[in-house]
Amino acid sequence: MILDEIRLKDFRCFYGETSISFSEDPEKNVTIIYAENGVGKTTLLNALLWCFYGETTARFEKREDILNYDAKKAGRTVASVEVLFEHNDKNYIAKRFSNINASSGREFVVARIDDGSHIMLDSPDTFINTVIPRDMASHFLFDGEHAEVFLGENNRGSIRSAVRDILGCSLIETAIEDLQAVSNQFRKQIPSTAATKRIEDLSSKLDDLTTQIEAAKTSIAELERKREQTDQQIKDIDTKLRNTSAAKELQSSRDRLNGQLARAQKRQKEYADEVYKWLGENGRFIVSKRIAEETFTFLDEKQHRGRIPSPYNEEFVKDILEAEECICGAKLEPGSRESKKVASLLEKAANQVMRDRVSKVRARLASLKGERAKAPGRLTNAKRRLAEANDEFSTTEAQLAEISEKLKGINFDDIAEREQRRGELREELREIDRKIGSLSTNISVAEREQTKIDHEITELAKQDKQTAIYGRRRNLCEKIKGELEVQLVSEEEQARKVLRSGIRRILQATTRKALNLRMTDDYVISLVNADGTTLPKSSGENQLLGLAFTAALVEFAKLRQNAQDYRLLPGTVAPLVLDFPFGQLDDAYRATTAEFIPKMARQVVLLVSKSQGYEDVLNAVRDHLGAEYLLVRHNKEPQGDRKPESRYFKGKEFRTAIFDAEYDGTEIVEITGP
Amino acid sequence: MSSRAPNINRSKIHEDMVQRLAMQKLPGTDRTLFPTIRELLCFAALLGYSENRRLPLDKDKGVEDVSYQQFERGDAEDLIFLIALAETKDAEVLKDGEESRCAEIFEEYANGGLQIIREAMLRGGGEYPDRDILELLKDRGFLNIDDQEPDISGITFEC
Repeated sequence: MILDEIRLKDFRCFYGETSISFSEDPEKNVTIIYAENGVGKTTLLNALLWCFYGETTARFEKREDILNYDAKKAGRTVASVEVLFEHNDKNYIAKRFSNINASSGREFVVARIDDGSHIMLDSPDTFINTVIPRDMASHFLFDGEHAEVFLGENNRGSIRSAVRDILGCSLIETAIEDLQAVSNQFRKQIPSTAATKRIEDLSSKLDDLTTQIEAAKTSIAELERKREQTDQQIKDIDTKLRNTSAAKELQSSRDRLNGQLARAQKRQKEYADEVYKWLGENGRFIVSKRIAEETFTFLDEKQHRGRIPSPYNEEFVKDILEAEECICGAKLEPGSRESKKVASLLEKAANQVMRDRVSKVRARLASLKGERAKAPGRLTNAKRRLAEANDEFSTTEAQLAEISEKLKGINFDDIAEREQRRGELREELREIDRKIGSLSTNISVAEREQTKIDHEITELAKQDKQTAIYGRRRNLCEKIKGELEVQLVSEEEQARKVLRSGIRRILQATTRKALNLRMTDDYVISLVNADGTTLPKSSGENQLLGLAFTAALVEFAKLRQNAQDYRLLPGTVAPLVLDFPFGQLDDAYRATTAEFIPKMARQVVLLVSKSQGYEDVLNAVRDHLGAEYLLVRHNKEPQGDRKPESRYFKGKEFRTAIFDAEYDGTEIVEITGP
Repeated sequence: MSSRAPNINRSKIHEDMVQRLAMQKLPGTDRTLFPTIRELLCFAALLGYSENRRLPLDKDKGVEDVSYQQFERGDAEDLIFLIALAETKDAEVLKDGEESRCAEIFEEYANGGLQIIREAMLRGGGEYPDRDILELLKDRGFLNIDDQEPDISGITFEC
């Protein structure tokens, strides 16, 4: 999809009819929209989402107030967004409207434009989903201010779903769910005879457990989402605090300590894991003392030494007997005394297999002994390191609490209030974590129970001819389901490989520092310095990482646009709409990042504000700039003694805020059209 | 080419516990105590040998088995032969064709070991199997390491 034009009518803060034509030129592929915060940048992003899918991003408040307030007062009832776009060399127009009086009716149409005439498509929703699948859309219409959302332990879920979205996993996921349902169906169909009464009881127990587990999993997913949101709110407060001079210092210590806390937490997990692993990995060494001593003694006893392995080699003795001649030249007639004597050696001869096994056992003994000496130390070390990590964690927590107290004490702006709110949010986070923990425990208990019951049902079903067939069908379902799950995992693994190398390549092109990417198999992404230390989350580097991740997703989607796969949806080529992508980049990164943005996608729309140093951005993308617009704020309030706000573009003055206006809302002003 | 032993059996009596120790995650973590059932059986067999508890499997109660292929990975197969050698004090047991005898000795010690673990878990309440087993190892003095063992690395065998 390439965006051609967006037309807004009374949509949210856009009063009346207003439009933007995007640059479609492959070289000059960047359209910049300048806007200060609160003027309508995010609304523009959401207009696209709303038009295509009828929904908006999570951070968009009051999503039901679609119609502009002043338009409503003037008696108008319909808000709409139209998007003209090109897809596979054909032109389309998509339009969604919201009528406050109409309770139902058609709200969304898509038409193909052939020689100026519009041909309505029968199922517009389905069509849009083939152009850009809904799951993928939010990765193209991207809120850069929250690029860091993609980082860290708590956002594994988002990253994983992002990868799955771009992979087009929805088909295979649905198939897995369906197979589970079919499998349960077969279980319920096991005919009821006296012998199967027990199966029925177990079956209904199993159903109950399944329901419980599903419910718990849903709650966890819900909580995880809430966790991410709360986390985000805290981050927002942190950003605000960082920009307040009185709190700056404290906030920067807090940032540092938070990093320390996260690292301590990671270590806690690591060493706790080591302690848990210890028994499984070292238990056998610990209990090998007696066997080592005894076997050693036995191997060492003189009378065995001639026999283990026996001095006679079986193959050699056989050769002599066959040749009927000893190596000393004496004849060995078959049946003679000499021949029998030699042949009797065979009973005691060590053959090759035995020799190999003896030497293996010997080597194993040596290693058991060595490991046994080391094993207790490993446990002590892991425990000591765990205790250290625990200590560091609690010390850091105490220091953080102190800073929080100090911040509350500053009577400045509304810092104290924010600090208070922050404290509440932290409390909420802890509560969420606690809930997630206890739900997880419930799930594992229930799953354990399930496994047991399932096993029992299978056993019972085997015993009864009538029921065996259902058992077989069930097993088949479970088998296919397992197979699909395995395939999904391997597809994901492939995708991760592609993304990893994509992100690495992008980072190398945009940073002058040596940065390495770490992306674990469970989607924890972090940036590490050349010396292996993880960079703090709030850094510009990490924001860059968020962008690089998005760019890698875009690349991956493009790569898969012609994928022929019966399980996964093909990818797509889509415009990249970036809001606020330079929030925390320092000057050094700003320019390089801006240079790289035009390469991120076939078409790029940038929404920027003054605070993001758009001069640098402008200079860096100059060669790729295809169109520029300015969002102007209209206020019904009088000017009063406010200073007039204006900006110069290309030597021409543009007002950025207008007072004594006829409406409260936003106007889009073209600086240079495409 | 040596022959392959039959599969390694374990008694169904302990199946719930085996599942808990090697298949189900420890409470509050995302890992199992023993990485695989094979690993658990190796530990149990050496524990059984150390504690001198060899216990034939009660075949009436049914058995579960692990394919022998599983034991050809890592050090598990060596341990089967080591235990057989230690038990019989006769190198003949390592000859080709004696594999079932080795497997049987291993199974019976592992069965004994599992019984010891079960007792430890009953004593400790069984909610945290890792703690129960560590407690057992501590009680029986397995965690005191003295380096008084004779060094066997210098011994050579004439073949």
